[in-house]
Amino acid sequence: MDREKFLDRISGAQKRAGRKIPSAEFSEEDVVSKPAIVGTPLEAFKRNFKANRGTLFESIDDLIKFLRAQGYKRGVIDAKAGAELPELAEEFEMLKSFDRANPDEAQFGVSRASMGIAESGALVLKDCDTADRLTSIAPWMHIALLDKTDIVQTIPEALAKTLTDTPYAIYVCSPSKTADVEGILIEGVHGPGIQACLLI
Amino acid sequence: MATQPIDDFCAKIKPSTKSAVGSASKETTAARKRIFEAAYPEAGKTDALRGIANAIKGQDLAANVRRAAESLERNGVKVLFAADAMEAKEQIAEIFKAEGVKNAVKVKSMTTEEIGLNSFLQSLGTDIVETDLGELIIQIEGEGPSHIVKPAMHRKRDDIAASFERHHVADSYDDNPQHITLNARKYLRKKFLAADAVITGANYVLAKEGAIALITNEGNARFSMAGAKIHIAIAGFEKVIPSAKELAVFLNLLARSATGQHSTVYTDFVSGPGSAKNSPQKMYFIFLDNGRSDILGSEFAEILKCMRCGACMNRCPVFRLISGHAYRATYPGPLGIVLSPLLAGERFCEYADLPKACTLCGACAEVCPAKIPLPDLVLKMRDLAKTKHCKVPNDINFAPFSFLATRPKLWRALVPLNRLANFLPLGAVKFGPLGRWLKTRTLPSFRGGLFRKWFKNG
Ligand code: SF4
Repeated sequence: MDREKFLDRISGAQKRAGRKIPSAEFSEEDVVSKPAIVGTPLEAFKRNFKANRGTLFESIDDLIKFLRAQGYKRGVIDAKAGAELPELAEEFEMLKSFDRANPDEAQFGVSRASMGIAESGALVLKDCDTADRLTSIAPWMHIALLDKTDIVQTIPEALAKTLTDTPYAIYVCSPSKTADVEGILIEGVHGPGIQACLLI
Repeated sequence: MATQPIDDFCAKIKPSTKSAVGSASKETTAARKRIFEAAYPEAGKTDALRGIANAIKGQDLAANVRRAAESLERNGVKVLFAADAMEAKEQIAEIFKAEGVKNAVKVKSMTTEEIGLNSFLQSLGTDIVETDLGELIIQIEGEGPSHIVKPAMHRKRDDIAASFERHHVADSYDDNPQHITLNARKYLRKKFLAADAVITGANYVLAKEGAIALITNEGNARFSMAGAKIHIAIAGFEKVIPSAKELAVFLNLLARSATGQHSTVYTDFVSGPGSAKNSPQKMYFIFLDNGRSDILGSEFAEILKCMRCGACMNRCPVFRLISGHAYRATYPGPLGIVLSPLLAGERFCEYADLPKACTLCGACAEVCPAKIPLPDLVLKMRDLAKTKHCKVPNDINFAPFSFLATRPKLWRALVPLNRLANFLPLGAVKFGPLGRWLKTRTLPSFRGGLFRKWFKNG
């Protein structure tokens, strides 16, 4: 259908109904959950990320220990995070890119998070900081590298900075999950069963 | 004389379906309550937030849709407008033809259910696969969703496992829910990576930014958008909100209302073809009317503010007993009672029995995050069905009831006699409209007190 005709139908309906357009003003106060942001943004992020069943590391050594304990041998690291974690390549076979014919080749994927949101404990992954979206979604474990200074306190703050520099972004709160079979919670549907964050 | 279609359905519901739907609905309702109390302990804050959501959804849609279309185009999205279901399907088929799409994956979208997209594309020889676990479970059996958030709510693990084996999603029968999920994971990754195109809905369209927000728990939106080369999104025009700023209100309401989570696991923001490797290189967006502009101009306009959270059906005492398929349309529960007859157009009267499947208890209006006055709309719908002279089978004569109900003094005088209801030989009424009506209904024994009070915490 022609655009103008389509829009005319909408404006015609609005005129017919003759309703007043209400004010939709609101402030950050009205939306933000106060209990969720208690403490500094860093403290709130850590608390909420863990409450979402996220796995948090504060040092690369702890991360390596964890990967070892899982028995992992092979990971994939996003080009934009590669330079920052040379330690991983000493211990694990680190792929530089994804083989689409073999999406389960890497047991874990490492990429950069553009932001963290304290209020929801979510990671923000933007295309401008990720070379390949598959790194964060296909392997069983995903590790997001998050700079502590990139943590914002509230969801409104995050929203103001989400689409400013990238065509695509995603908020990731926890491991991928479903309750589609009898309401039972299962983690690791299409995305990671273990969602981790390494604070730097 | 025939019975109402909804009664026919109810007479055949399996006890396992009843218990699955009843308990899941109750649990989700309780989780919703807990999480709102924890997030907003301040008196009245949740309520105020719902009011803001209602006001945002009441903004000038004509202006916002125009702005959204322009912003999307600025971001490199090809924008189309569809007057009805058929036009939208044809537009998608044309894109498929022009781009040579043979295989497509779909990210759960009620709008595509509404227009019957899957069967249409399949009839043209395209392979289209649902990637949400619940949707996959029903798709392979050729069923429609029984709930807008949990489409396979009516199914049990053993029959899902048998169906997975039969349709080769799994190599063998395994009814462990974890294994069912893993089998779907394995099966669908191949589909994601082989797909030429991905079709999604849009939970929200941001007019200022020219972007859509997609909300999933499983991660299927991101995975399919790391596999397919073409992305087609379709949504009713009422999904447009002014900007990302307003999205904060909805992100705080939607997951809490839908599943009792504070946030959904994944919120994807897509504002055009991606810049990452493996991301779609082309994006199309289709604005759908399909009866919505008529609704917008009518006394039912409030229903367009719905954000498809499912809280109203979870809370509904009738839905809990009869399950979603009883409503015979894409949208069940209190939402469906209002929306389905309106979307049916000329087939309005086929759904005229739906507004009667409501006790007018008002519980849905209390939980609706968009503060839609659902019970008022249900009443208006009953009225409309009468005005349109729809013939509903087995209409019970309510004249004696309305005589009493409009005389408060007489009503109050008779209330103590309610106890006598326990002694009425209702089981013996086998014939006539009342007999048919009682066939699918068991009256609870009268126990006094206020209905609203004992219903409150359920
Ligand atoms: S009508 Fe309200 S409660 Fe029901 S699905 Fe829509 S938004 Fe949710």
